[in-house]
Amino acid sequence: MKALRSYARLIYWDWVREAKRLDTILSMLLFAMITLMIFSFAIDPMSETGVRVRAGMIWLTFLLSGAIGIDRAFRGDGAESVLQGILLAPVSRVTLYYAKVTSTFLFVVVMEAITLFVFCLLYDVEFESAAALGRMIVIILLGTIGFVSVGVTLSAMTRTIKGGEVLLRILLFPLMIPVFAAAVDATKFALAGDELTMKQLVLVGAFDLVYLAAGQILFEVILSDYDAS
Amino acid sequence: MTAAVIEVHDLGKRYGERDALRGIDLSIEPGCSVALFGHNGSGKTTFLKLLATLLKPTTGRVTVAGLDLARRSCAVRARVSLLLDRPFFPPRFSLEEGLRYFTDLYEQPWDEQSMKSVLERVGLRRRRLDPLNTFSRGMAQRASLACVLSRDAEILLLDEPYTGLDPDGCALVDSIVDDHSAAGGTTLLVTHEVDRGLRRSDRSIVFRGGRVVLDEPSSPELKDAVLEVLG
Repeated sequence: MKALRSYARLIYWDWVREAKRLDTILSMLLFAMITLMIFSFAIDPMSETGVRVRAGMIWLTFLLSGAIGIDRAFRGDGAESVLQGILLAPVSRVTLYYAKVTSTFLFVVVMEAITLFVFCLLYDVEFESAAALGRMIVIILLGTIGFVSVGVTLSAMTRTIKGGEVLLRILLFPLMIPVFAAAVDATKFALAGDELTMKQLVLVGAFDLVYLAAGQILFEVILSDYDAS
Repeated sequence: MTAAVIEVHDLGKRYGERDALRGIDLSIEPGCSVALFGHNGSGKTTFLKLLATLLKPTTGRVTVAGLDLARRSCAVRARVSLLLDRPFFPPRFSLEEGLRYFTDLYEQPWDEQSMKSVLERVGLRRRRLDPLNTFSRGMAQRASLACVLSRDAEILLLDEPYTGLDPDGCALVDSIVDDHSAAGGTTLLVTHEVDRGLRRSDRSIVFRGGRVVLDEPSSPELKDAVLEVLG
C-alpha cells in the first residue's frame, strides 16, 4: 500500500511540475507536427507509396518526438536536486522506476493521441469502426510501453553525461528495432482495418515485459550509487 | 551503555581510482551532536551521503538506528534528513508548493499551521508564494532549512548549513541543532567554522584524505588541536 501511495504521489507531482513548464509535451508535439509535415511534403500521402509506408511514418514520428519526452524524464531545470530529493525519500528505486515510466508514458501518449489525429487528417485515414480504432490504440499503447520502459532507464543513465541527449538516442533507437518492427507490422493491419493476430499482440507485449524487467533491474543499479551514476 | 544510533565499520568509498573514504570505524550515540571538520575533498560530504543512502559503500558495513544500510535503505531514509546545498524541489515551484511537495514525498503529516510556523521560523513567510528560482543563495539555503524543519527525522545530516547565510540565518541553524539535540535527536554537522562547530557539538571528528584523524569530545580547548590537524 505504501509503495502504491508513493507511486501515485510521484506521478501526480511529475504532472504538476510539467503543468508549470509544459515544455515536455509542447516540444514533443511541435516536433511531431513538423515531422508529419515534412513526411507529407516528401511523399504524397494519397499515392500508393504513401499508403504503403504510412505505418512506418507514424511510428517514426512517435519515436523521434517521444525521445524528447523520455530525455526530459531526468533532465531540465533543477532536475538533479529534484532527483536527489526523491532518492533521499523513503521510496524504493523500483517504485520510482515505475512512477517515472508511467508519468513519461502518459506524456508520450498525450503527444501520440494528438499526432494520430493530425496524421489521420493529413493522410486521409478513416477507421471504419470503433473496433478498428480500438485496435490501433491498443497497438500504440503496447508499442509505447516498450519504448518508454527502456527509455527511462537510458535517460537516467545518460542524464549527467555531456552530450547525453545524443547518446540517449544512439542507445535507444537500436534497442527499439524489435518493438518497432512488431508495432509497425501490426499498425499496417490496423490502418487497413484488418483484425490483429494474437501473434502480433503477443510479440509486442513480450518485448514490453522484457524491456520493463531489464529497465527496472538496470535502473536500480544505476541509481543505487548516485555520484557514480 | 546505550546502543549506538550510527555504527560504521571499516567503511570505504572509492570513485574510480581514488579513495574518498578509507577504513572508517565510528560509533555515534543517540542524542549526540557531532561536528565534522576537514578540508574540501577530505570525505565529509561523502560520509553524510553514504549515511543517507545516496551512495553505496565500496567496503564496510553501516547500521543506522539498528538497520543495516545495505538491506534496509528505505527504512533508513525514513529516519534521516540530509541538508545539501540546494532545496530538493523544482525551481519553478513556489516555496509553499515546494514544501507541500517535499512533505508529501516524505509522507510527513503537514498542515497549514505547520507551514506557517516553519516559514515564520526560517524568515521566508513573505516570500512563500515566490518561485524558488527567484531566491538568492542565502534564501535558497533557508528554504532547505525549511525542508529540514518540515520533517520529523531522528538523525539530521547537515552539510555546510551556514553557507550563504547572514548572522540571523547562522543563528537559525544553531537553534535547529540545539532544538534537535534537546529533543534527543542526533546531528552530524559538517562545517568549516571551527569555533561554531565546537560550540554546537558534543564531539568533533576531523577527516583528512578520507580517514578520521581526530575524534575527541568537543570543547573550546580542542580548537588548537583541530586547526593543527587541519594544517
